[in-house]
Amino acid sequence: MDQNPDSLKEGRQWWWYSSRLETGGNGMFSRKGGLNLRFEEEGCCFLVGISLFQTSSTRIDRNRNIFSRTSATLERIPSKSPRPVFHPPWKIDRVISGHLGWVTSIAFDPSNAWFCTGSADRTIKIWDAGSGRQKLTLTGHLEQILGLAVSAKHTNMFSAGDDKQVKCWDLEQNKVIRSYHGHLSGVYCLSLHPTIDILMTGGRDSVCRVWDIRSRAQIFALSGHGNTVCSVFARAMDPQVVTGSHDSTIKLWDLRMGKTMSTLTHHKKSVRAMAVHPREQCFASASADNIKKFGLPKGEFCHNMLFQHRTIINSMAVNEEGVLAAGGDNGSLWFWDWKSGRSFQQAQTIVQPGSLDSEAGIYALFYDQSGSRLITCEADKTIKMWKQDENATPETHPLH
Amino acid sequence: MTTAARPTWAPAKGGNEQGGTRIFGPSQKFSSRDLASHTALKPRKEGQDTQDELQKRNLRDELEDRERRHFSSKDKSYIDDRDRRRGSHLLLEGTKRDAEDRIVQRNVDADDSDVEVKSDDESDESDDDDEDDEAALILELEQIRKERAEEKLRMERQQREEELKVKEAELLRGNPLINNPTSFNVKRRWDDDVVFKNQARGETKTPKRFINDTIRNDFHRKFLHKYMK
Repeated sequence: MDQNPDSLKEGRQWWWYSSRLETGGNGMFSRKGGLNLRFEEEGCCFLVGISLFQTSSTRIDRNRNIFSRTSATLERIPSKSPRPVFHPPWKIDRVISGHLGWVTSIAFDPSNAWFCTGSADRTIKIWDAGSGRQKLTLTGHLEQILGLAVSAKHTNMFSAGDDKQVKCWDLEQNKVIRSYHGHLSGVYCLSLHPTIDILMTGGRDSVCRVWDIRSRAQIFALSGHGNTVCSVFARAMDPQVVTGSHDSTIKLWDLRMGKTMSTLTHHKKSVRAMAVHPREQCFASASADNIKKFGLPKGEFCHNMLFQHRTIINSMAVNEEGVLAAGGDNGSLWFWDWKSGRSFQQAQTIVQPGSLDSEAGIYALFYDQSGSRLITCEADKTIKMWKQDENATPETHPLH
Repeated sequence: MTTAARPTWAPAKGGNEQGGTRIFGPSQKFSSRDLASHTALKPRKEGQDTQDELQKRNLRDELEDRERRHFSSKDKSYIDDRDRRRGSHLLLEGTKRDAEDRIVQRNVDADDSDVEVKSDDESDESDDDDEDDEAALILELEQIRKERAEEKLRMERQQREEELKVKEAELLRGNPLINNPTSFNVKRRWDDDVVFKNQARGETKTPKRFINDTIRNDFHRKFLHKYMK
């Protein structure tokens, strides 16, 4: 046998071996702990040495003299789309009830000890994250609360509601200390700037207002959208504000000038939810037609998510492991692999007993600060906590 | 009635010059809500979960630990200690409350130290006549032992006598054929011949059910039936 080492690239290796293994071969374990396989077919015979410990430096000895190129040995071109990463499936861990109306917004404390939910019953309730017990009920809004945020730098919590009010709560006294007056109509979304002390709210008056937290003054009214601004997020780097709207566009804003940097018109339906990846420079936006991924400084279109989540998507969230969760108006909760854009789990929430089936609906989603728990706020007045199945392995839940 | 709250097809659009009015100069009038107040931002202090503190902590492990403590059957009574101790739930405590706690602890310590000081003094006095005391103590101990032994003996004797008495009494009255206290009357309840008793027995009781709607649930329906109709 001609000892002609030929190493294959890692991407193709597996396909090559697996195609061989399927055709059948007799193998034996060598003394080194590796695996030696010997294949005989089509009159050609070659020896494959697979070291289980160094896959990248695998050498393949083949007999060039007898070797004939068949379809099975042609180079396989790896797919351009990234391979999906395995994520264990998520399951409902517990159900928390206590609100008297739709639960429409949620925010986590930076210390992960508690979270607050806003509801259509006009209250904000504070829950202990570990035990799920209610700690507190805050009243003050006159309509449903659609946006919540807890400041990581200050002892403040912010809430915005359909009653056109944006409030700043002092967590040391549990009181409203500031109120940001100016929206002409209901406020649908709220976001805090990570580095500067400003607050972004978007509402039905189709502007995103930028407030100075301290002085309660409006810095900008970022106008340009043709319809309700229903999703907003802020970043430390440019573009510092990104808004999605019911006019099915996404706008990236230059916060220094208060002007639009670019407008993304890829969506056909209203963009109700957006999610920024915690580390990568890209974000996903959801509308009823598709979930799309965009790169961030420029807003260039990356790709669509590969399956169509056929519902109105109210909320989305990504965690550090790259699990994108999208909650739909019909109670469907789809989990996506961020990198490959494939949905690895399509769950459906179960309404709590005593409610109608039509009350299945997810209005808000949030990962806890560690990304290990997912909390959904639902139309059946409950808050559901999801966690990953610990026993799941790639063998029990194979990627399809 | 104002229609301001109703949804419209064309809601008002905001902007920097909303309503067509542009402000060229500062206005002389302003709302009482716009009065300056809370002009300083309160940053999180040490102990209020500042960013630096959170970076050192493993939030995932902490959360799982808290969940485990909640779900474990042994610690059923676990509630946040803080919650039980204090009536009000302040989400971020200031440093003031911690100071109060510290004061209470110091008081307790102070009391203890007083007691100790007193006992030390007594022991110092008794050091002088140590040897005399020892002999007296041994004598006393022996006496106590003797007394205890006597007591024990007496108690045992008493018990034996009592047991004997009980046995004799049983022998005397032990014949079941002669001394049977049962009577052959049928025991009747006091309300056996009364007409009005437990009239709800035949009715089927509607089981309590939960309807997740504040105006369609049984309680509200009953309430409306009772007070509105």
